[in-house]
Amino acid sequence: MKRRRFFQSALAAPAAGNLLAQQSGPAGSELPKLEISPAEAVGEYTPRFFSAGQFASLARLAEVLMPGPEGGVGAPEAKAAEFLDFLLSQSLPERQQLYLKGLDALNAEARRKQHQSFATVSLEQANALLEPLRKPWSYEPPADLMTRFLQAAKADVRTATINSREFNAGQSAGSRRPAGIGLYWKAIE
Amino acid sequence: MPQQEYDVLIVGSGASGGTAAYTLTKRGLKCVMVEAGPLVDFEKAREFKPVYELPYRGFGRPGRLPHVFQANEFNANQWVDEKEVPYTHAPNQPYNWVRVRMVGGKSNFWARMSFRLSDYEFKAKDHDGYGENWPISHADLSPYYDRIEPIFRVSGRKEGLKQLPDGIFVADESPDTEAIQRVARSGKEYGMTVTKIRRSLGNGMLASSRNLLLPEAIATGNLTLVPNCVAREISVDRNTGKVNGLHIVERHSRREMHVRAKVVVVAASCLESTRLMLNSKIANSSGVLGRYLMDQFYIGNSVVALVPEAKNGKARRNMIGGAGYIPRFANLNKGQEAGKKYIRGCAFDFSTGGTPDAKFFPAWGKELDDLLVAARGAGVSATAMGDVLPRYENRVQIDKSVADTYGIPVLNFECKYSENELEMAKDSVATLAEVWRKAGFEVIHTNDKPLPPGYSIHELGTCRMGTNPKTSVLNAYNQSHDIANLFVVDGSSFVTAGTQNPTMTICALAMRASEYLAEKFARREI
Repeated sequence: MKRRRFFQSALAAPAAGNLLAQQSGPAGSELPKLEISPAEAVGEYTPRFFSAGQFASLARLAEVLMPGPEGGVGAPEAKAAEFLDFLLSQSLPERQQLYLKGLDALNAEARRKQHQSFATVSLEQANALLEPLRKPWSYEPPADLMTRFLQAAKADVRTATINSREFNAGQSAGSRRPAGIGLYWKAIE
Repeated sequence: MPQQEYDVLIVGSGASGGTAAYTLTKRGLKCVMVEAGPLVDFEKAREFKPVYELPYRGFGRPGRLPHVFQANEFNANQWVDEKEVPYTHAPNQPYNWVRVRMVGGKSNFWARMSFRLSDYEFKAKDHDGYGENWPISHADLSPYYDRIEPIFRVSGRKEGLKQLPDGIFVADESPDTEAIQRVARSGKEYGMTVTKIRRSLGNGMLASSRNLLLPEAIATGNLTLVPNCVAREISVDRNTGKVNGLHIVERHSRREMHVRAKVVVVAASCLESTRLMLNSKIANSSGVLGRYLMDQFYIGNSVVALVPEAKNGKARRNMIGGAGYIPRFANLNKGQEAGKKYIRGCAFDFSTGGTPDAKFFPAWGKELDDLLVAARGAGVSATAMGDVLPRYENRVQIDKSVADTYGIPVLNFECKYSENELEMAKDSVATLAEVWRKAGFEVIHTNDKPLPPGYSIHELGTCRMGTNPKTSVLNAYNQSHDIANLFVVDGSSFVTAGTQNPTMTICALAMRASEYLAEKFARREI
C-alpha cells in the first residue's frame, strides 16, 4: 500500500469511541450500529488565520522542527501546521500575537540572512535561523520574541504531531511513542 | 408538613465534610449534607478515548480554564467552570483557584500524598518567632491522625523524623533503587533525608470521601446527602445570635430554599467556606476572616536530570525507578540558620525512571529525537513545595461588583509571595541541584520560580484557629469564637501551611472537631 493511501485508510477507520458510545436497548430492539468517519477523513482544512506567506513559513518551520522519519509521520503528514492555524484562530490574543509577530520576525530574519522567505530555505539555512532554540528552556518566557516564539512553536508542533490521528496510525520511529489514550470526562449536567 | 430540623448541617462533601459526617453520624447525630455539585456516576461520566479523537488534539479549547494549569482536554469537564463561578484579582497578581464541585469534592482527584504536620508547623512561632502558633500541638492531633490514616490506608515507611512524624502505615517495604539511594547519600551533608512517598492507597479506584467516608455515614441511617445545592448564606436567629440553617440554591432550577439545623459545620473547601461566611456576614468580630491566605508554593520540574549510567537503555535492574520524598531540611536546628535568607523550608518529591520533556533539550528535528531516545527511562525530576508564610496582607474578600451564575457575590484575591518564599525557592532548588550533581546525575534543567499562588491546590488559612478571639476566627476545636454552634473544619482553619500536603491534617482536624461537637451537643452545651 502506498504511503498516502495508507494514511487515507487510517483516517477513514471508524472512531472507536463513537462505536462504544452506541446504546443498547431492550433485547430485540437494538439499533443497528452504523460505521462512521471523522470529518478530517473526508474534508480538507483551509488555513484562514495566517496569511498565505505566514502559513507557508509555519509549515516549513513545522517540517524542520519535527520531520517525518523515513516512511514515518512527521509534522507535514500530521498536518500540524494546518491544525495550528485552526488552534491559533481560537486562541487568546496574546498567543495569536506571539505567532503572528514571531513568524514575521522569522521571515524578516530569513530575508536578511538568506535573501528569501523562511518558507523556501534549505534545512541547513533553517537550522542556522533556529539557533535561538539552543538557549535553555525556562519557565519564565524569554524576553526576546524570537526565542519565545520558537520555544512555543517547538512544543506546539510536537504536540500537534504526536496527538494526530495520522501519527497514531503510522507510529514507526523509535524515538516517538504514540499519543495516549486517556480517561475522558464527559460534560457534567 | 413542618420542615425537619436536623441536628447538624454540613456544607460540603469532600475530605473535611466527609470526615465530619463519618464522625457525627456514628455518634448518633442526625445530619444533612449539602453539596454544590452532582453525585457523579464515575462509570458513566468517563470513557477511554484516544487523544486524536478530541477536537483540539489534547490542547483543550483555548481560554476555557485559564487558571487551571492542571486541566487538559481529557479532564476539562471535571473542574469548576470559571465562567459559572468566577473570581477576581488584579492583572499583575494572578491566583490559580482550582475547584471541583461534585460529591466527594477534590478528594476524588487528589494526588493522595498523605503526611502529618509536625510541631515545626504547629509551634512555628516558638521555633522562629514569626506569626502565631496553632492552639494545638502534634500530640493533640496525633490520636486523630492515628484513626484517619487506616481509613485511607496510608502506605509509608517509619523514619523517626521530627519534621515528618510517622503514622499508622501500611508498611512500604519496597527497596529503594540505586538512583534514590544515591540522592539519599549525597543529600546527607545538606541535612536531607529521603523517605518513601506516603500515599493513601484507598480502596478500589479511589481514596476519597466518596468511597471511604460517606458510605459508612449513610449506612448509619443518620445522614441525608443532598447534591446540587449551592450554599448562598448561613442564616442566624436574631434572638439568640446563633446560626439556625442555610439558604441554598438548587443548581438546576435555581430555586431558593432554606434548610434548618441546630448546628452548622462548614466544610466547603477552604476558600468557599470563607466566601460563604463573608457573604453571610458572620463570625468576623476579629476582622481576620479572609486574612492570612497561604498555600505551598509549587515548582514542578524544579530540577530535571539524567542518570548517565541509565542512558541509551543501559539501566540495570534496580538502578533507576520509583519515587522519593525529601522532607523539609532547612532551618530545623534554628529558626534561621547561618547562610539562610529565609525562615522555614521547602520539601521535594521526586520521581526516577521517566523521560524528560522535549522542551528541556535545546535541540530540534532528528537531533532532538536522538537525544530523547538516549534519555528514555533515565530521567529524574523533582517538584518543590515550599512553606508560605501566613501574612496579613494575603487575603480574600467579597467582590460586590461580580456575582456567579447563582447570583452569589464572588471572591477577590490579593495574594503574592514574599521575599521569604522566593529566597527559599532559590536556595532549595540550588541545593537539590548540587546534591544531584554530587550523586553523579547530569542536571539538564533547574527552575526556582514558583508558579502563581494557588497552583498547588493547597489553599489554606483565611479562617484560622487561635486562642485569642481578637486575632483568630476559630478556637482550638474549629468552633467559631463568636457563634458557639458554628464550626469550620477544613483547610481554612490552618494557622501555618508547612510543606506537607494537607489532606490528612484536614481530616484529623475535622474528626477532632466533630467529636468535640458531639460531646457538647450531647451535654446540650451548644
